[in-house]
This record gives sequence, C-alpha cells and structure tokens, in this order.
Amino acid sequence: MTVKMAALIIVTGLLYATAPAGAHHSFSAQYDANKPVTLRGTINRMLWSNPHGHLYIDVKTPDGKLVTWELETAAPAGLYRRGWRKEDLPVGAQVVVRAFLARDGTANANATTVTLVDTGKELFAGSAGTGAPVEPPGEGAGAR
Amino acid sequence: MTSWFHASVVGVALATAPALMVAQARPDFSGRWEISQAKSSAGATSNGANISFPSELIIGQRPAELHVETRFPRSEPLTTVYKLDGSEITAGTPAGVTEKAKATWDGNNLVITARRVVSSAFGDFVTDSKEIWTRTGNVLTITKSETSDGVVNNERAVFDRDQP
Repeated sequence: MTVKMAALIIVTGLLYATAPAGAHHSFSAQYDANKPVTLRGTINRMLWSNPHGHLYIDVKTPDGKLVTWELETAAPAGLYRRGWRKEDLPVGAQVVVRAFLARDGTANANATTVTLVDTGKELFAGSAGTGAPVEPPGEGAGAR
Repeated sequence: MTSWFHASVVGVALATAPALMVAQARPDFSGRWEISQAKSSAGATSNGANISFPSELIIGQRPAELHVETRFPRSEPLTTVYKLDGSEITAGTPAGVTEKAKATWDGNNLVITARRVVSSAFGDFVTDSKEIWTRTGNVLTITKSETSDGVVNNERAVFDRDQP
C-alpha cells in the first residue's frame, strides 16, 4: 500500500512537472530568427498566461482565407511593465505585429512589437530567452 | 614631331582623367567591419523582428563586384556577391528565404535595393529594402529602409573597420 501510494505520488509529480517545462522554452528551439515577418490583422483574443502571454489575431491570406495566428509574448507582468493594458487590446482592433515565424510551419510566431493601427501606439512584446528579441534601451528587465 | 607627341599625351590624359577620377573616387569597402552598438540607432542592434544588421561584415571589393560575408550571432555566415553594374543577383539567404538584390553607385555611396521573400504555408511575406552604404575613413555607415505590408522601418548601422 505504501509503495503504491509512493509510486502514485511520484507519477503525479512527474506529470505536473512536465507541463510547465514544456511551456517554457528557448527562443531558438521554437522560432526562426531568420524569418522576421509583418502580420496585419484583427485581435481575436488575448491570453494573459504565464510564462508567456498569447495574442491571437485573424489575418487574411493572399487568397482571402482567414487564419488565426497565435503570437507569443512576454509574461503578463512584463507586458504590464511595458505599458500593456487589457483595454489596449479590444477584440476586433486592427494591429500590425512584427514577429519571428515558428520553425514548425504552423501559424505561430514570436511577437516583438504590436502596433495598434487606430492609435499608432506601439507595444513591445519580446519574450523568450537566448536569441530572443532584446528590450529597447530604457526598458526595465523583461519577463523571461 | 615633339609638339605633336606632347599634344597627344596631353589629349589622352585629358580624355581619360574624368574616368580615372570617377574610378578613384569610389570608396573601397574591403575589410572586416564590426558593428558599433554605441554609434548605431537603437533598433539596428536589437534582435527584434524589425530591421536587423549583421554583427560583422567581411568585404572584398573588385571593380565590378562586391563580395560580402555577413555574420550574425548564433547563425551561419551568409555570402552574397553583388554586381556593381546594377544587375540583379540572388543573395545568400537561410533556408526558406529568398532575396534578389541590385547594387549601384550613387556618387560615392553604394545603393543596394532588395526584395526578400519569406515563404510560409500561409503565403509569402515580402519585404522591400534599400540600403545606402557610405564610407568615411574607417567608418562604414549603412542606412536602411524596409517596407513590409505597408509598414516602413528605418535604421542606421555604423561599422568600425578592424585595423590589421
């Protein structure tokens, strides 16, 4: 009984441990620094999650289809320090995002800046570790 | 005979002088150049997804060609050979990216225009760029303007020449 209980605790612990480890990753493991792109679309939703936030925008492809891109950002605390507020990102607002494409060819990218078309406000979004976008001078330490 | 000969020499010299002066006036970009963070614009040396410049340039210049090796941290070096007569060339790029470029002289400045295409399953991402290269002593300044999906970015990178 004791052995079974111990095994259960270990297995449960391992299962929980793998989730955050998978969510937090190096920039170069997931994104391609050689593929910076500009995405123009409308905000679908913003996920204020840790260790990275995720901005979803709907982008029209050249053939007219809508593709929802998932854009990784810094953690919410880092975004807040850089001036991001929930009210800045209303659903349907037009944005232009500079980002690095994901290596796996999916509609994922690592955002470095998000510019709100209506106001012209530019928000710095840089997130990950080695190889990731660095903060512009004068910014505080970002979330990693 | 002598005066005819002297006149010929002077005539030839006068005829070729402008061409030689133009050729001599062209700056030589040959050498090893390292980017200066302190002298460059802020965005030029960040590694955000805006304009990026190499950390180092290794350049060999010939009358008709410019061999440029670009080095970035954590990436393989890329080599491009520009034809200085303005004809289109294919630049060295990483996999999944293509770039066509042209280089021409504008006085003492070298102007490089390029179209870079990043291919994806969701369509091509096209970026047009214009670089103006200026050498002043041991300083190479590259001003770059990029347009992508209607968004324009401008940055200036300053490189210092490594002294042998």
